[in-house]
Amino acid sequence: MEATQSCSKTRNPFTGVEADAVAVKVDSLTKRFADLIVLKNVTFNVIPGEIFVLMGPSGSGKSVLLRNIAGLDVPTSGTVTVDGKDPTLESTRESVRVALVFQAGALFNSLSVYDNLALYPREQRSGNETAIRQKVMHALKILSVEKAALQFPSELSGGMKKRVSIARALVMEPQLLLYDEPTSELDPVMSATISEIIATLKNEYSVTSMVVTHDRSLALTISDRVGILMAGKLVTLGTPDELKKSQDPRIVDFLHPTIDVNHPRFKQLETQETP
Amino acid sequence: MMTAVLLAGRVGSAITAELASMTVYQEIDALTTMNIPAAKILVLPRLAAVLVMMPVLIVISNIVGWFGGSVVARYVSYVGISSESYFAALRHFTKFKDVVNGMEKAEVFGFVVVLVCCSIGLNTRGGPREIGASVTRAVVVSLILILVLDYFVTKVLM
Repeated sequence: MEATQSCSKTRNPFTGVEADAVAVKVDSLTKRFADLIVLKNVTFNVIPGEIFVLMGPSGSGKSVLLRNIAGLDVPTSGTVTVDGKDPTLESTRESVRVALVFQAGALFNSLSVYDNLALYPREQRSGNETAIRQKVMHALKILSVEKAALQFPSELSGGMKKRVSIARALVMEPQLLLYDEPTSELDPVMSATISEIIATLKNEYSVTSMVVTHDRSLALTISDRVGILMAGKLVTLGTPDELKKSQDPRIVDFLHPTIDVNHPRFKQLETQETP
Repeated sequence: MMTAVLLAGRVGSAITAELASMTVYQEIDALTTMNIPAAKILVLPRLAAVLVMMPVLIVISNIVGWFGGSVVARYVSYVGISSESYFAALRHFTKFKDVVNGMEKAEVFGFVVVLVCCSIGLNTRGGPREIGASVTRAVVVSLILILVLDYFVTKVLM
């Protein structure tokens, strides 16, 4: 399923109430860990209501960038704003609901699936237990995991954990949904299912979504725009069609890698003497 | 003090391991994104639990200690004190204030042990390997603090 065009209104998946979709602005973001510069002067915007996919090779800084947008890390220099506010501030978290679907799910192992989802509304005191139950079961139903409500995360398969973690994010009624490698460690069929879920959530509820992935199929199928990060720098930004037509050899190599068994580095391995 | 040492080894290590594991596997980050303070749902209940249970543990350990002492006093040949004499001496020399002081010290030790273990667990950085390092560090720091605090708390209570 492909994502439709972005819009500036988001619809609450539980109440149907419309609200303004949020925008993300990253301006000259640099992030350093000791001597290692992970992100270098990264600048881009995420338009309200769009699916923005950030791709790049492993170690390019994608997850660090996502953590900065989620407010889990503080930039070394530059700014990140979500709906015009600093995402690291508690006041921002109270006014702008940003949900992050972690790569490994980050489900609470001591809580059942139901309690994992009910934790947020219970802590926020959003309604009585009956209302919370309706919200939780509705979210589980959207992701087709309602039968797993009483199971614990350790009893779930990888695909189910991903769907439960998306359901947990949905229960937050997010204005910004962040996905960190949502299809990693999944088979192609489950990857396609998760991609469809991401696109459906965007099409149905117009939630601003940002996906970090190196899954080319997901990126080029469901995204409105794609950014490619390499060695901490944003080397390109455009629609999937623009990327497919790009002549930049770095982009071409990344999107269409080839395996060359006659590459000189393999020859070096062959000629090395075994100990 | 012995009860606090056992608490640090058994309970403190478990607390550190659990919280360090939650930190390493991003469960704490998940709480942060949900605007749920980790201290509120992970640390405060544990502190409350230790404050409630420490006096109970002290009572149990005192009773076990007294009866254990009477067994040693009776059956170890070079001590050779009858149970009646032992308990008579115990009643004579042990004041209620001593028991209360012991409970107060234990409350302080228990509170410090849980606080240290929670702090070290939640500040674990790195991968799963760091969980073990955090547990070791938490127990060692707790034991050192128990020994140091024993001197200062005793001075205050005297």
